[in-house]
Amino acid sequence: MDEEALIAKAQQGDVQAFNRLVLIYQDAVYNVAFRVAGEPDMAADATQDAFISAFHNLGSFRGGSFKAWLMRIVTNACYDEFRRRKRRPLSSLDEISEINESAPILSSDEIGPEAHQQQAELVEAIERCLQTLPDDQRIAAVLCDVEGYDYNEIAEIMSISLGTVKSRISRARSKLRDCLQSVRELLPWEYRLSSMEE
Amino acid sequence: MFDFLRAVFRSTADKEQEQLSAYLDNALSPVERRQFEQKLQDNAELQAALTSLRLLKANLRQLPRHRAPRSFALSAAVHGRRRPQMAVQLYPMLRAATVLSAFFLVLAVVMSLLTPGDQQAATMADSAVELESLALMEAAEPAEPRALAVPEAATAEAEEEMVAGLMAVDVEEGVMVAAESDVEPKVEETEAAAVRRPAAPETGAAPVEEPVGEMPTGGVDSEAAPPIAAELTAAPLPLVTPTIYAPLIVEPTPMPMPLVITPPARIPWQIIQTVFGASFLVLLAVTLYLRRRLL
Repeated sequence: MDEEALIAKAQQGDVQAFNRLVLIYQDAVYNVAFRVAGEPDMAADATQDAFISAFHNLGSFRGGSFKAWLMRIVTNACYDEFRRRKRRPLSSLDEISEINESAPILSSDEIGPEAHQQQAELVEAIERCLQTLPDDQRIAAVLCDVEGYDYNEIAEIMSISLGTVKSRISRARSKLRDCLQSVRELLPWEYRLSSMEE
Repeated sequence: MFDFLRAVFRSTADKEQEQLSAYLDNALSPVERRQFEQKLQDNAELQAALTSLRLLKANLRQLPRHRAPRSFALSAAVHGRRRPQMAVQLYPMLRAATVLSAFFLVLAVVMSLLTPGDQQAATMADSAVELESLALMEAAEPAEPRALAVPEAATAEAEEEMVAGLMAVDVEEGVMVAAESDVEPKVEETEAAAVRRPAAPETGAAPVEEPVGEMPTGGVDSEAAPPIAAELTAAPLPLVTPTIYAPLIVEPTPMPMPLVITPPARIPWQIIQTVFGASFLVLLAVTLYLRRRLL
């Protein structure tokens, strides 16, 4: 059954049809939520909220890219989660350490342990720098550079103009570059951005 | 919305950075792209910035993908039941109706407080009711001899009693002077014709003409009005002397116009408020119930 038929059935209240859509998109939705939220628990909460919200608001889906529509919902769910967490900030050091420990590493069996470690450090540095960005710039950067959406899709997902998308992505990249340069001593030489400029 | 403002106030460096980023993402128009490439050829610093951005983008793109830690499929037991379509359609209408009923309730309360003639109308209506009750009390005293202008039904009853019960009333002519009233009496002679009767056969007396109360035309209850009218005119009342077997001849006398007090139309604010209040409460309860079910 194709996606449109599944959507049509789900719009009539068929949970099983909707769950097949969930299985198709849950990894993509969770990844965006994880990159935006920066921690797995919050990402899981936002993802679950997004799918529930999507099911209940499926009647408002008027065609187009279902994935982009889902991404829009999950970014909104992330915003909601940010606001919720700001009201009740994390206070446990265990949770913070869990976040750092949960940072994934590049899964490659071809590289040695040293390169593996360097890549892990790079990933950790990028994720830390991502979290220093303002929410709107982080979402734009994640959608563009991590998930590979084009500017028009990002404008649709974030409900902003194309000019704003360009501006947010440009600012996010500048800040990320500055952030990674400030921690370049942690990075392997080939990943030091400034090395290319020198 | 404020893109034009941002375009005005952003610096040259910001514009260059945006162009660089857009060039990297193939988001420039062909003309802009050509212009930027020409600029790029002559500017080593810009080339270096482009290279660093390209590397940054590659690093970001290489971030590991995560698998969803669990299935986010929805439970059919929790989310499977379809929302009642009728309720979904009714909900906005109920909300609007609730708001409207609340508005009209407030409006009714305010109007009842602001209407100036309402108190006066209420007072006049109360006095009319008092007068009516007084008239009823008067009518409830049939043994009063001076009550000449009794209602028609009561008169007929009394006549039969008098004729059959060996009682005749002799009324001196001239005594039966109708009370002169300032109010122009409205008499309908058609009803009065029925009054003249021959004397009772067993008595042989002359026919007695009884006064019969005329139907008042003012819309007030006929049973209540005549005694009040008689009292209000303050005319000399006829002396009725009971005489056995005497003929009853009574000239029909015009009845004075009863005093009619018509209270102005009174708006039943209390009823209106009660109706709107009850409607508001019912609609609010139904709306809240549906909201709880739907959301």
